[in-house]
Amino acid sequence: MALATDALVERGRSKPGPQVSLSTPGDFFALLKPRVMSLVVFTAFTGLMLAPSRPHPVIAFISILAIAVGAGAAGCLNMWWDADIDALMSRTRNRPIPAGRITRETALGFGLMMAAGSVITLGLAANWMAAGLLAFTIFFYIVVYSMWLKRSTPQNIVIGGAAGALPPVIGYAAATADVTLGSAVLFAIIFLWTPPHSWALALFRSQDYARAKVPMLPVAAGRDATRMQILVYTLVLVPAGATPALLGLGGLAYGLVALLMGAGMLHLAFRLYCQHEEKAADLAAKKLFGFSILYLSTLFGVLLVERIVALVLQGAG
Amino acid sequence: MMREVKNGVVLSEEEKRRRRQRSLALALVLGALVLLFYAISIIKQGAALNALHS
Repeated sequence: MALATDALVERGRSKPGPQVSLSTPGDFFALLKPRVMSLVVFTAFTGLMLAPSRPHPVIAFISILAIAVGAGAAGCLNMWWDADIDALMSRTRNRPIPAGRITRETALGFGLMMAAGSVITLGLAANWMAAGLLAFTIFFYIVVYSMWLKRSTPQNIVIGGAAGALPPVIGYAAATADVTLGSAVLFAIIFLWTPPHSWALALFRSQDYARAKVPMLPVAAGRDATRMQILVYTLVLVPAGATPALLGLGGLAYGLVALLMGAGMLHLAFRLYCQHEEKAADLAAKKLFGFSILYLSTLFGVLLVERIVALVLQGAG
Repeated sequence: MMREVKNGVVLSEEEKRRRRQRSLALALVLGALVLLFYAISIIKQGAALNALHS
């Protein structure tokens, strides 16, 4: 793989002497993709709280920490593998590896160590079912998504989205050592949310992806097909988003919020579908992208709040 | 950063400062890990003892 960082190192080799790192702890933290980690922490914590039984609070805290570090390890290994792509895209070219602050070898070692450490810690603190799911998630994100699908098919984020959808299942399993219909529904919501969310981003960043030769749907199948696919996935996502209310995972408030936010998603997806002019479509895609983050955060937030209120009332009674 | 040296590597002040930052961060992480595994051990042993006596 021809890398910008390799080129930097090669240029450096023209001068004699050893190489001394100027990386800071902040650069290593950036390798963990902290913004993705925060979403993982939130959804995993919701999954853990929705479980019928809860572990000791300290064990719960350590479990969520291990899941967060595992997600960070996956992000770090993704940056190790995709450093050549990251160097070509404006959104990612300032990441520590393409910017030359951390070498790929260092990132690989750091990522592998964090991955192994997080899985072992989760296994020892919670149970080996949750640890196995975390190990599978990291493997799936790196090997199946990053190494295989990302550069070979426009369905990359559809299948690869499974990795991002697993944290609530891991959180639930950390509490129960089990995978149930309830946790599978939480998985399904994130899994179905990923395509409209990622393709909305890919629409207004399509030139970046084209430059990096990543076959995202707008690059491989065109903008019209992407807008149609976004609408289709949103039509499936909205009823799936309301399902927790039917299963008893969420209450009436959740059901109403899920339908209201779902109507918002559908409205924005339909407006995007109707926009054929490129600039207007980019604007509509940005609105949908922003709202999709609010949609998922709100759904999981309401599930969490409902659960906490129920526990408080249960304690008071 | 590359340079020619004859008697080992001589770090600049900036390089020394950043190395110190990395060392401190690593020490904090290792310390946190010790506390983490101590907490896991105590809680797991406590739960096992409770189960034994009940």
